[in-house]
Amino acid sequence: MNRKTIKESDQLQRRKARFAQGLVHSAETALAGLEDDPDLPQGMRYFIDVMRGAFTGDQKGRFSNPSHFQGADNRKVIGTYCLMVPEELIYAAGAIPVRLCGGSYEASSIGDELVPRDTCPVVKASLGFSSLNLISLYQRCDVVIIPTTCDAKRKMGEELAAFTEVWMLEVPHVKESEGSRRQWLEQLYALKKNIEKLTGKRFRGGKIRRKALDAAIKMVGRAQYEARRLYELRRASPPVIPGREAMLAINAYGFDTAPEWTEAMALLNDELKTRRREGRSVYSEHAPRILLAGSPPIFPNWKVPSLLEEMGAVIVADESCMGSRYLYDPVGTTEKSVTDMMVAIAARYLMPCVCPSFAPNEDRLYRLLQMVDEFDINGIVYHVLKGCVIYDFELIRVEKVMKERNIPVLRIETDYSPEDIEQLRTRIEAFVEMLGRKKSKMKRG
Amino acid sequence: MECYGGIDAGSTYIKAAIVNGNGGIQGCKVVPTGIDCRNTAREVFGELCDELGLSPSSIPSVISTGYGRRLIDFASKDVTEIKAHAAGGIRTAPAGKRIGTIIDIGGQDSKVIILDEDGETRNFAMNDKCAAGTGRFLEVLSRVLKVDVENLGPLSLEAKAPCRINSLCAVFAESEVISLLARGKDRADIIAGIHMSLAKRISGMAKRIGVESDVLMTGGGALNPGLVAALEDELMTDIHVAENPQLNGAIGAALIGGNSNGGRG
Amino acid sequence: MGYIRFPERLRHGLGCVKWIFFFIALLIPLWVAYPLFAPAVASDLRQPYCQLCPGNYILPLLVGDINGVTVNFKSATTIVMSMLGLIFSVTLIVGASLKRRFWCPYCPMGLLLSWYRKISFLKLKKDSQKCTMCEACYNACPVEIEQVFKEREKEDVTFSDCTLCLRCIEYCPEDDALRATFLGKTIYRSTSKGFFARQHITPGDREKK
Repeated sequence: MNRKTIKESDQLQRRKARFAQGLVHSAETALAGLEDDPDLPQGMRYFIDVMRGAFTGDQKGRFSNPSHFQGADNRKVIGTYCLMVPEELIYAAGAIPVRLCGGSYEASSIGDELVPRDTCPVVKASLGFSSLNLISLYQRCDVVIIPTTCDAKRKMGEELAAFTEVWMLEVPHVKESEGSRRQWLEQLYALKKNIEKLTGKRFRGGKIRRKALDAAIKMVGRAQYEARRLYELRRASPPVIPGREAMLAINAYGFDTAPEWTEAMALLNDELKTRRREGRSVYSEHAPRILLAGSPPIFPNWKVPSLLEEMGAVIVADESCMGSRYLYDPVGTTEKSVTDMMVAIAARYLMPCVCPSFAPNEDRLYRLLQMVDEFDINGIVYHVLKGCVIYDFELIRVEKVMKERNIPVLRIETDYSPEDIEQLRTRIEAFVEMLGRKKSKMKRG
Repeated sequence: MECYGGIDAGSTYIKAAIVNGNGGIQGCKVVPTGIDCRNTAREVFGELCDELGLSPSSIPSVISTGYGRRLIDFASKDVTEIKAHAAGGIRTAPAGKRIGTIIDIGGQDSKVIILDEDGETRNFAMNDKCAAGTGRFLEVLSRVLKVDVENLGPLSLEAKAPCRINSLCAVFAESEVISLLARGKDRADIIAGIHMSLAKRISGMAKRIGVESDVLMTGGGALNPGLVAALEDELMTDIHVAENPQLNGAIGAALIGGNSNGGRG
Repeated sequence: MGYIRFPERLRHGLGCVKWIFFFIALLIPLWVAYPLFAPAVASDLRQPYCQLCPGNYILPLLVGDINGVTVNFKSATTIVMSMLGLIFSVTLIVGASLKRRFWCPYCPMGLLLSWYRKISFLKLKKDSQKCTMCEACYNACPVEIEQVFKEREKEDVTFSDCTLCLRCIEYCPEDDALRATFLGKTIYRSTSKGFFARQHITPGDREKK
């Protein structure tokens, strides 16, 4: 190795170290914002540790834990993006799914150099993570599956191929017709074959069989059951858990394996149930109840959830694809044949998904209205990431529908950088003030 | 009669106001912020009290607002400028007019506030990321044109053929103005064009959330008749200028203090 | 047992079959009663429906009587009718083991009953706001009714092919999205707890892992 290469490699190492340091700092700051809660539920510690492990210390991280990911088992790790990749197929083949959508400012700064300026920060961060290997999670993936949702994700798929093996999963954008649903089912059968090939040596004949698929559906189903319990518990008034904590717990699912996560979530839910019975809460009944909609806040970008709750509101509901939407819809199998299970999986991963990459997307308006009713929402904070055109597009319709219901909507456009925190704070504070006044006026009636 | 104080700690100017229990404005004062917001605020409030023959300790509540609101240590509470301007606008609007929209154009930000029938804030929009919609735009250009900021308004009203300023950015607009001057364009026309540019920016923000009549203008920008006229043209509606527009935030903050202490502001 | 599901175009195409059977069931007896032409054939068609019905051939087997499972050679008409009947029987047995409720979408009785659905005591109701469009009701429906899943406006979703088996409610994962009402009173509603229980995914099953 000549001097130039040694120098370059040194430079690269230093650069990497700089970014890694920044990442650790951001992650710790975000987690500190949660651990500051004087009444943090005991059950939250598990999820905080999962995130801490994934982002700040690979030594403590789950992904260096031999019993899960290395050693005799040698299980494959399959990276996923968005919500459309069926984890049941991955678990049934004995592999482990991880959700790779990036939320780090530092990683997005790296990605900035690799994509157009106006690209959304999620794609920038994901590419940044993959190119510089800031955390071992991305390196550990044997393959990455990217659904063809929005423009940015599709092109990201192309770029990511330079760093890892990429499988594109074609998601029909117009789901209404039977033809598109049939096409989707065929896509999933093809995906199943590819997964089988990847993990092939594990099974006799190398196929995912009925029993394995059934077990996988049940395993993920239990996680969905606990996630649904959390969803229901968040309806309580006064709120039993701050939104920034609940959203983190669900975000952690992407970095954990289903059974472990389910156990921890069950314990958290039991704790929250007790709190609800006791009426125990860090919030008063007067705190404005917010629905956080729009582009997902992805850890460690906990800017908006933290700010909102710092200003005295509580996020009782969210429709983030890293949050409540991640595990909401369950798979409804009617028969026990592989065909039926595949049909049920295909249905679950396409039909109820209200990602704005689908058009028409009227169903999302119904879901938002239903959440407004179920959670007794006072106001909606609509989070738009810079460059996220599709969520911004739908804002117009959301505002219109919410106007009829007399629910104020605040649009917040931001990216991952911490520069605009003060500007956000002013807007959020004014919004929370407005809601608080409205709420007390309504109470006085 | 009890008096209540309000401080609007902006980044360019600090404004102080004192109102009485009936919502009547006792007095107000404006000074540049300088580098020490906290002390300047304390000083200006003290001076205002002196002028009115009051002692600062006799004032039961001082509410602060504006960018530096949290730095005002003698304030009992702080509120956002949205809330303060809404409260102030109701009081400083011309008598008999029900205000539906408040447009505040400050030195470094601008806002649009929509009020409901009870005078409470229903919706708002803010621009604090880009100088092109704020008073700073005018300050920059007044330097280039060698005209005092106060004269920009009256001069613009003399324009016969307003120029179009194409640049979106205040910094690039400066270059554009210089080149217009070099081409021999009349100053009044250029200034009118600048006002149109500002008005377009602000009306864009306002139209996005829906302007409701009547419209009231506050903030330093409301002192500029050229800007008021340009906005009226853009929004195609009459615009009322608040009494003491630059002090609207401080007045509103003081009124909020009065209301919560039993006053009838 | 069976699990074949027909694609949309085929279902729509086959929709007219029940009208064909309906007219057969309506017009032929009229012809038998008033044989304006071919009276010989008409008299042999005394009970046309019964001659075609698989029940005629299959049910006696249940009591050990195999005499019915033959072609009736009395006349040309009866040969044709009994052959058709035997074919229908075999088709029914094979079809029913491949597809649920094989006959229901073509049954003229179903057609008649469906005309009363607007005044039916038992109705199926949907709350569109609660529906997440997950398609579970369509996948569970033995008669492949898609409209319950697709309906976004009306509350009453009792459609013409519906046998009111209420399987859609069983498999709906959202609380109160689908309900069965009897004379307006809800007697059965969808619940997420019920859904998970049916899929054997409740805490009690956690231990079984």
